[in-house]
Amino acid sequence: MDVVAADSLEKWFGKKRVLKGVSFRVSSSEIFGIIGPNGAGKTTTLRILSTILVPDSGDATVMGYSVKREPEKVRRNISYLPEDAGVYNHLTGYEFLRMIAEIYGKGSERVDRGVEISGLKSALGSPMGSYSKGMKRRILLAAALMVEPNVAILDEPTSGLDVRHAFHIRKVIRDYVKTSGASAIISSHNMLEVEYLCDRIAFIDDGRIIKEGRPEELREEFRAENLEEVFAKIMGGT
Amino acid sequence: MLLPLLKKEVKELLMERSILIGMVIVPLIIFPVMGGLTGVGMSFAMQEVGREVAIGVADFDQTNLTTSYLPQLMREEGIYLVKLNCQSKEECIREAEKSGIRFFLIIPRGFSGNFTRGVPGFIDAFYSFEHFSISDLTMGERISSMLTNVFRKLAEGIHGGFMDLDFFERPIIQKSAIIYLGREIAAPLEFIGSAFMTLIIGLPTVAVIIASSAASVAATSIALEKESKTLELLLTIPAKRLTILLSKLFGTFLIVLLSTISFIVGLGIYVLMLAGAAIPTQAGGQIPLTQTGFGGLLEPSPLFMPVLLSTIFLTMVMTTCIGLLVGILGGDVRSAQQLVSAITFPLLMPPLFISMFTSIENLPLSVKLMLLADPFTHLFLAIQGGFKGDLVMALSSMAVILGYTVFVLILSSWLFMGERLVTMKVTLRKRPSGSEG
Repeated sequence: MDVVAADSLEKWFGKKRVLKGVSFRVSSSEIFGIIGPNGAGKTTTLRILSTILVPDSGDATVMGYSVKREPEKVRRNISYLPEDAGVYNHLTGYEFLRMIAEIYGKGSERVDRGVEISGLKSALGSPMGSYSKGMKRRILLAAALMVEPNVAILDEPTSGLDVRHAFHIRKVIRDYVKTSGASAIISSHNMLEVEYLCDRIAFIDDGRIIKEGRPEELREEFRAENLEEVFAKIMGGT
Repeated sequence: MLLPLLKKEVKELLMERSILIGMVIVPLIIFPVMGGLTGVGMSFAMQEVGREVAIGVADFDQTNLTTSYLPQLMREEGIYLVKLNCQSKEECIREAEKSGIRFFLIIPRGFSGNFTRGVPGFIDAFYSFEHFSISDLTMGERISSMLTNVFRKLAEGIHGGFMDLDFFERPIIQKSAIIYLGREIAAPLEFIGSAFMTLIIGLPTVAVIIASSAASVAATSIALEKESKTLELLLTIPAKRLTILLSKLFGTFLIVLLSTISFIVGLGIYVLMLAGAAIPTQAGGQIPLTQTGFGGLLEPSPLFMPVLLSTIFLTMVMTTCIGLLVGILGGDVRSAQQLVSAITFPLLMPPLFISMFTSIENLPLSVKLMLLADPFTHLFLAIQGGFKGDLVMALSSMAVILGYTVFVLILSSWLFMGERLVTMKVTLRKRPSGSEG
C-alpha cells in the first residue's frame, strides 16, 4: 500500500508556478528522499504533504487521506520537522516534549521515549533558548518521532549541524523507520546523507521531478561513483 | 574616510522602507492630518469662544453701583447682560438653566459698601459647562478675565488714581463654581479644568497605551512563531486551527487581564491621591477636595466605574484582536510591531486630539462620521457617557467597540484558517527577493 501518494501537484505563489505537476509514491517502511537545488520546490512539496499549504491543482494522500479534503486526518498521521525550525525559548526541553505528548493524547511513556531519542538527558531541564542549534534539532526530532507518526516529514533534518549531531539524527531516523514500520520523507542537500538514509530518491528541479529511483539504480544508470556525481550529471553541472 | 562610510550609512538607512515610512513619510501624513483635525476642533472652539457673551446677573445688593454703573461697564466690555430674578443660589441656578444662561454672577449684599471702601468685593461666579473641552474652559477663562477688567474699570471709576495697588490688581474675589450635569463643583476653574481633562482624556490615554501593549503582545505572539518557524510545527499538530487561534487569544487575554488589574490598582491609587489632595483657594488658604464637592464627584459613581473598566477591558480585547490580525499579516516580529504602531497610532490620535479641543457633537457631519468610524473614538465617548451618567451613550459606544472586536476576530480567524497565515507577509520593509524551496 502507498503510504503517501502525490499526484500532479501544482502550486503558484502569485505569478510564479513553483510546482509543475509533482507526482511520487512512498511505501511503508520506506525512507523517501527529495533532493534538488535551492528553489526547486522541495519545501513546498513537503509543506503540501504536511497540510500547511494547499495545492492549486492535483492532490496528495497520506494513509489514504486527502491533504485537500481531510487535512485534520492527515495531521493525525504525520509529524513535520520544518527546515531551520526554532524552539520555544522559555520552555524546557522536557516541558516541550510533555506538551507535544499531551497534544497527541499520549502518556508519559512517550515523553520518556522522546527523552531517549533526543539523547539530551541532562539538558532537558534547561530552557530551550539556551540550546545549541544541534540540540534544538535533536529535541524537535525527538518530539516528531516520539508520537510514532505513520509518516515523518523531515525538511533538511541535519542542515547546518556538526558531525556529531548530524550523525545522531541520521541514526535516529533510520532506526525509527526500521523498527516502527513507519515511513519518512526527507529533503536534503547532503548527498551522502541521502545515500545513507534513503531507500528511494527523487530529483526535483524547477518544480518538476526529473528523476526517481533507488540510489544504487541511479548510480548505475549514470555510471557515477556516488549520488553527488549523479546530481551533478542530472543538473548539468559537469 | 568618513564620507564614503557616511554615504553608505545614509543610503542603507533610506533604503530601509520601515525607516523611510516611519521617520519620513508617516510624519508628513500624520501630522498634517492631526493638524487638520486639531484645526477643526480649535476653530470650533474659537467660534464658540468668540461669540458675544451673555452673562446672567443676580443682584442681591441692589445699589446704584450694581444696578446702573456695573451693567453699563459690562455692556462696554461686550457683555450681554441678562437679569436673573432669584432669591437664593439654588433658585438662580434653576433660573439660569431655564433661560439658557451658561455663565452668571451673584452679587451679594454689602458688595457695594466694601467696594467703595476699597475692600475687594466677593462675588459668586457660576460656569455651566456642557462638555469639559478646551473650548469650554477657554470660554470660562475669557469670561473670568472680562469680569476682572470690568471690576478694575469700576474700581478706577470710583477711586480714580488714589487706590491701593493690591485692590486695583484684585478688585474682586471670585468664588467660582462650576455646574456640570446639574452638579455644583466649588473649585477654581483652572484646577477643575486640569482635573477633568485628566479624567476625560488622561485615563483613556493611559488605557489605550496599555491596550496598545496588548496589541503588541498579541502581534508578537504570532509573528514570533512565524519568524522562528515554530508556527509551521504548530500548524501540523492534530489540533484545529481555531483551537490554536483561541489558545493565542486566551493566552494574550490573560496578559491583558493582568494589565487591567494593574490599571485598576493604579487608578485606585490615583483617585485616592487626588481625593486626598487639597486645592488652594484664591484667598491663599487651602480647601480639601472633599469640602468643595470635587472629591465627592471623583468617588466612583455606580455607573462611571463599571463603564470605565468595562470600556477599558473591551478596548484591550479589541486591540488584542487587532494585534492578532497584525501578527497574522506580518512576516516577522519587526514587521508586526511596525504594523501595530502604524495601525493604532493614526486611529488613536485624531479622537484624542478632537476630544481635547471640543466635543464631537460640535463638528461638521463629515468629520463627525469619520471619527465615529474610528473605534478609539468610542473609547472616549463611552467613558464620557459613563461619566455623565448617560447609559445609552456608554452602552452604544461599548457596542461599537464590541462590534469592531468581533469583526477583527472573524477576519483574523478567516486568515488563520487557510494557508494565508504562512504565505501572507505584509511588511513595511523592503523584502529581499527570495524563493520557496
